Amino acid sequence: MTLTPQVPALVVLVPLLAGVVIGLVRHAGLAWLLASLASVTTFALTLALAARVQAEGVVIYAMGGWAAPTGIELRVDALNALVLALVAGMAAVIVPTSRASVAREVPADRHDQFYALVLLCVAGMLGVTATGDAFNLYVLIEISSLTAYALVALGRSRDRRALTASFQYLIMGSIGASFLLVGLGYLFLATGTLNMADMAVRLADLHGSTTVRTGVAFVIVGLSLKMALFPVHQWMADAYTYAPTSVTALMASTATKVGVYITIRFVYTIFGHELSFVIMPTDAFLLAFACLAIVVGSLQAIRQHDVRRLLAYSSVAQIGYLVLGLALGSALGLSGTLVHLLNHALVKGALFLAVGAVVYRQGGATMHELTGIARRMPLTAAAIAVGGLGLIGVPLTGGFVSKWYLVAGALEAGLWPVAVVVLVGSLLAVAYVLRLLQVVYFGEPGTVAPEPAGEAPASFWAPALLLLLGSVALGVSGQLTGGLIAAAAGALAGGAP
Amino acid sequence: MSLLATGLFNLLNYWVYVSLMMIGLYAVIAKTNLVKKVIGLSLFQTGIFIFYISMGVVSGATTPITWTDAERLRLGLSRVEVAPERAAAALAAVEEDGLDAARAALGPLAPADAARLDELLARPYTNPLPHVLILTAIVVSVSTMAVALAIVMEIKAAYGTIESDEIVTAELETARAARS
Amino acid sequence: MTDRWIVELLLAVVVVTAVGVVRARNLLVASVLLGIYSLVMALIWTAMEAYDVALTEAAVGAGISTLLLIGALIRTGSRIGGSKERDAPRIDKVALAVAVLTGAALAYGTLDMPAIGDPTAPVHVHPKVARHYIDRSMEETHVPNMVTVVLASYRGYDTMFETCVVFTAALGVMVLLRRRRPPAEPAPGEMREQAIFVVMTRMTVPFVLAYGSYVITHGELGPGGGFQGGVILAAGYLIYALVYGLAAAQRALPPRLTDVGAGLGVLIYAGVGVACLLLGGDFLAYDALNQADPAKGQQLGMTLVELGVGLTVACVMVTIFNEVAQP
Repeated sequence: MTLTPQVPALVVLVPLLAGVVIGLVRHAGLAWLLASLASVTTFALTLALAARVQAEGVVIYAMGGWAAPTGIELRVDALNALVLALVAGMAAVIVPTSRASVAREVPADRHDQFYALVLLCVAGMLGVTATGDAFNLYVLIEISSLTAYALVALGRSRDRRALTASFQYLIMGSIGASFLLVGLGYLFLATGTLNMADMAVRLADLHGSTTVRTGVAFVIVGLSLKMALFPVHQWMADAYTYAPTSVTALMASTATKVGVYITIRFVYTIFGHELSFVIMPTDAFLLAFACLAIVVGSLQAIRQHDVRRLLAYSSVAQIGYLVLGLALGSALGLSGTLVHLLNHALVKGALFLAVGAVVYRQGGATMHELTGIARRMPLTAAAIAVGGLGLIGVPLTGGFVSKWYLVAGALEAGLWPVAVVVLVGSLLAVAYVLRLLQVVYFGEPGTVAPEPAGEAPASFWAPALLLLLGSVALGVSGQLTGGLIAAAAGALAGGAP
Repeated sequence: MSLLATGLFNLLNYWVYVSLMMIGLYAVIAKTNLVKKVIGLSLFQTGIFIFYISMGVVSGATTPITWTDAERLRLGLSRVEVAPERAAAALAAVEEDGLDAARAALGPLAPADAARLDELLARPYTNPLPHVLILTAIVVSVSTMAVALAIVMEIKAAYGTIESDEIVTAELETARAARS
Repeated sequence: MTDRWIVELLLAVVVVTAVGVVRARNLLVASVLLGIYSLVMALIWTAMEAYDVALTEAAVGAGISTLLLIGALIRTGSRIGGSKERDAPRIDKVALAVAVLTGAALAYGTLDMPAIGDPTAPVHVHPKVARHYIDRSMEETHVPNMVTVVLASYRGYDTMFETCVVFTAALGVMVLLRRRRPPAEPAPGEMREQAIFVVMTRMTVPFVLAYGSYVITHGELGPGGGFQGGVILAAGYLIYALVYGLAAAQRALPPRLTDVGAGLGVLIYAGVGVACLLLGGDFLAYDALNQADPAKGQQLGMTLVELGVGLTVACVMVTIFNEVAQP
């Protein structure tokens, strides 16, 4: 017997089982060790799966041996192979290196539960990405959300506001999931199926139905809530600010990306181009809020004093870019979204890790605590600098490539105001990044806060620099992932499921 | 009844579910008490359950547990006037040759009884799939409630209140104290 | 379906109760009303021939949820008249606008839905979904309860994650609420002094536990299964704890055991899936458990995963109750 055909199932099973086992071990070190092993193994499995998708095309796995639509299937194509590898890859970098910050921020007797929750969250996100069944998607979203609420609340040992942030997140997340459930219910009622591919086929004949249109609207609104698209973004800013550092790094680099992936899947694969963009004004709706997200998010970021909050608002703006690309409805726009998805995951993950290093040394991450840290923490400062440049999208970083695609896509569609918004957003990013770098490099240490004792442990800056290396590689060589991305974007925009 | 009235009547369950969702959503947003918000969320979610279960209803159908032909016949015979020996013959026939043979063995019945029996024998099943989906949703909903209440208890421990406006005031005071 | 007017009457009661829940100033009243609301809802499910859902709603919605809410009210000291809701006549306009807009959109979508009960509706006629479940489940699995077959086999992958959601809830509650030190021995519960409760408990608990086990193991034949039975098992513990006090209950069933049981249930479920995989089938393809007679394999697989579900649900409910009820 060979395990090769079972890889799609194992991608979800390994973190899931590891999460449950870790919940039972009652030993902090062992919990960390198991979690690290599981996340690295999962990453290897997603890479194997991606290789198989590239060689064979779409990989389908029938759960329980029941062929879809009777049973639930996993269906992995170029697009979700990429997202699976991204989520597992970020977990494989962040989980093994999280020990020092978790030891500082989470009570020692809760490390087993902490790592169990982290792995279950990762399993949920991977499951959401791999599944080909719409209701299964809902169940898995609830796993990744429920774990995330608890993880955010754990930030309370540092700041009690983590609790209110978590509660707000829970309320918004549950409303979003309920909207999704209602929307799926309408689509199920109209089509009689829950399988995504089958639903897509059946929806093609039902464009006139008000039930279908309402279902589409509720799915889109529900997903917007889950992605924290402007104007329902406040929960994310708070959650990222007060969650434990490693949780923020993981969530900022994966959770929103999975949300964007699901939106792409619904808009392009399930609803299809005509239903999404011709019959329903999904593009106008998403474009409008995406542009607002970019401008308002960036402006808010400029005003922040706490750097984690600054980065969180920057994420609000970045979600704007991601949604903007997918709402353009073209291969160019989608390529922009996909490159940005990869790049922003790497950059934001790295930045939150670097800020985590400052929190570790200084006890906080306000502008005061970052003043002049470049002298004593040169590597952390370098990570913040490179990451910041990536956020702006200067040439040679992945951010440049994605914004190039987005501007080109907007101009191709004749939407020059949208192109202007992308450029304005980048200028605003220059403002908040330069302000940050000025404090880090040229601030006078010791005047407002004590100078750090020295560089943080390598487990903070090494993974940050590794992720940034990836981002730069993405920027320097568009070919690195270009093939896979172009294939995915072309297949989706061409309407082929 | 006019066509419109029939339509409204047919969709009544759906209108109830819409009202429940509205009541719940209003409570989640408007209420300042955090426990009340959690309760609102629960109302909001149960509204959706009505929608799904109503979708699964089939007129005149029975619960989706497979009945054998003999079980169906036994139930049917208990609801109509029929001589015991003919009923026994029918029950024997159903084991051997199925429902049609049993119906023949039963002989002629009063028209009302015949119609009633035929209806019971041909009774369809309710759609099981929405039931399964809602079982899942109920479990998800109670799990969310448990975590939500745990967070509320911790908020009470940290802030001394579970009223959202008082929490905001407390935070503003903390911020002011930190600045001065 | 039972007579139409009964359902309609119950639906009207549900809406009125919901308004009452939202308007009640006293949180304890609101919680109890919510329990009644769930109970009426369970009646509606019965009237709509959804017995599995009714059983779950009664056990989870009317039972566990109400207990959790009341526990939370006691812990936060907002018990009787403790609510400081000062929003008596004021209507929140933003909330009202959002609710009305959502309601209008939802209602608009219902306009061209098929009438309730229409057997030709798309959900009822899909040959590979609803029709497959109704027409072929008996032949493929020899299990009469279609809800159980869909839950544990056709959509068994979903149910594994559902069990995981329950486990996650326990983790979330533990990570937030569990005290570092075991609580000091509290005074015995007040009810212990009342002989009638003690005698009644002694008589009821064994029956509750037996019934819970029955529901878990007989989900294939009739309404029931791991979720419902697990909650009923936990209810046995809850009754015991309410009468004899939490400390006595925890001596009878140490939290360490329920911690392990909660995870073990999920592992049993996933373990059955892995066993199928090792026997050459796909994950959770119970056919592989009995190559000679796939239907027997299906039955075995479903029985085992329902046991896993029941174990996890019972242990998680007990854990959550322990954490919420601790002084």
